[in-house]
Amino acid sequence: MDPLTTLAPPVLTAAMVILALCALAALLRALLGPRMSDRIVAVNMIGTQAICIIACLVLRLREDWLVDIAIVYAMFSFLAVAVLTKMDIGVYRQWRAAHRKSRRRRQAHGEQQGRDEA
Amino acid sequence: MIWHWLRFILGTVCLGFGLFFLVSAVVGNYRFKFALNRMHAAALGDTLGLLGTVLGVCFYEGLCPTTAKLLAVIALVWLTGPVSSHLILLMELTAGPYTDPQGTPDAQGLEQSSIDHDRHALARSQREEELP
Repeated sequence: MDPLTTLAPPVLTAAMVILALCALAALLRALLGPRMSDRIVAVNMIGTQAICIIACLVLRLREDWLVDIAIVYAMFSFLAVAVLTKMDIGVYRQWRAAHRKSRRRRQAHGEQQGRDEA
Repeated sequence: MIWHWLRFILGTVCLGFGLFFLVSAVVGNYRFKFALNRMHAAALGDTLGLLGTVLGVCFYEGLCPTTAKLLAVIALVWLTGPVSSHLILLMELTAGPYTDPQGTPDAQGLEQSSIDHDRHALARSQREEELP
């Protein structure tokens, strides 16, 4: 009995089921996460688990070209994290600039009011 | 045949090792409360979890070009993982509640954290001057 042809496929299937449950839990974490960074961390984790699932599928289905998909998936996962973080920082800076501008206007307004009262 | 049994056992041990770390990454992500703590748990799965799982598949697969590609996946994730962690940290420090002088979205949670707020607020005010 060759263990690599008889015993390995069930082990890989079990590993994929566990990984899929983990990915579902991480998705729930991404939905629950109160802040943007929690969500991005969870999405990054889902990417890693998807890469592991694809690596198991390579052997389970005997399709070697799936490894290329795993490489491309790793690249896109990184790209998604980079773009999302940069986008969030940009949005925060815009919000900050608008906040500052309105505060400055409010301060100037208040000073004028004070002068009027004086 | 003994060689095949050896490969199967080694691969299963590696697979179990990797799965343990991937599961513990998810558990840690639920148990920790703040994004910077959660990054620590997620990095565990990103490094050791991926290494164990992919190495287990490599042992099952044997020596062939596919194995080299699987190792390339590990190398790629290990190269990009620290960069993405750094970006998430940068985002958290720029827009996070730890250092925000006005708006603290979850102030009651912050009081329970062990982060040194004064030090972070000082760093934040220094960074604010550099911002355009």
